[in-house]
Amino acid sequence: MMTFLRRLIPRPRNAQGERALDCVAVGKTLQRYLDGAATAETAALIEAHLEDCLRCGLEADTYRRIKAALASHRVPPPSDSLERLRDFGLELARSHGTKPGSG
Amino acid sequence: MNVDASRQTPFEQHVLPEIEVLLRVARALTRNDADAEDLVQDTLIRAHNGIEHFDGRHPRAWLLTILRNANINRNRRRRPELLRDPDLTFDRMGRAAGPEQTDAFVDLELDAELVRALDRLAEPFRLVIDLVDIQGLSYAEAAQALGIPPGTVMSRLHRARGRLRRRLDQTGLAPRSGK
Ligand SMILES: [Zn+2]
Repeated sequence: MMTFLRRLIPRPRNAQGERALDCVAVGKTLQRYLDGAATAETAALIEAHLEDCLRCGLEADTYRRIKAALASHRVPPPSDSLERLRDFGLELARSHGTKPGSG
Repeated sequence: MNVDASRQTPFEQHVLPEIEVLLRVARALTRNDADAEDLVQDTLIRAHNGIEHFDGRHPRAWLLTILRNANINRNRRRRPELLRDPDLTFDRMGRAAGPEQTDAFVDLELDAELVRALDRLAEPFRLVIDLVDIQGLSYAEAAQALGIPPGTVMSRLHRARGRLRRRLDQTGLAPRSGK
């Protein structure tokens, strides 16, 4: 609730007095930030903007929901497939490692 | 599983732990369980043959490159229209059952629409979403798997998400920020 109220009041600069990012700049880096791929410095500026700006805050929330929904589809691959491939890999490993004549 | 690491061959040390990731990527690329398994098997054979030339650094990146090349080879031998059966998509996107699922925030209505929207994306866009957002690969790993620069992965990913987002906008499932 607090976050929502804060977003309604525009503030040109963040609390630290650093140069605030505008909506266009945030839009360009938002996804990288949500992927955890933005630098710490950029991340802090984006966070400050998302707190202040209703529009960008909602945009970020939407992408977070999309990411969460997509990540929920991350199911383990079929266990029988995986097991066969692991056995196959072990077989390959042994076929190389136990060549006679080396000891 | 207390295997003495010093007695492991490089193949056991670097390749075997990556089999699950390889299978995930193979499933995203082939969209077919049997093909995916074949592709990983191919990849393991190639990796085994090439392990002596591998310097031990970044095994996942090395293996993803091998997998990509193996996949290109396989596709050359097939007719492209046989490659993707859209009916298989839903099986592959099947949700995991389990108690941990209830903890995660999942919006079912949004989710169903998202699956539909994802299937409508052109293949290059669907693939980056699958590899990064579903399978959890990094930009760099997805770039290796697809043979494109990480910057291209990023721009495709962002465009793809933008398209998904607009689709959700149209269905009223995402808040409209413009109003
Ligand atoms: Zn803004």
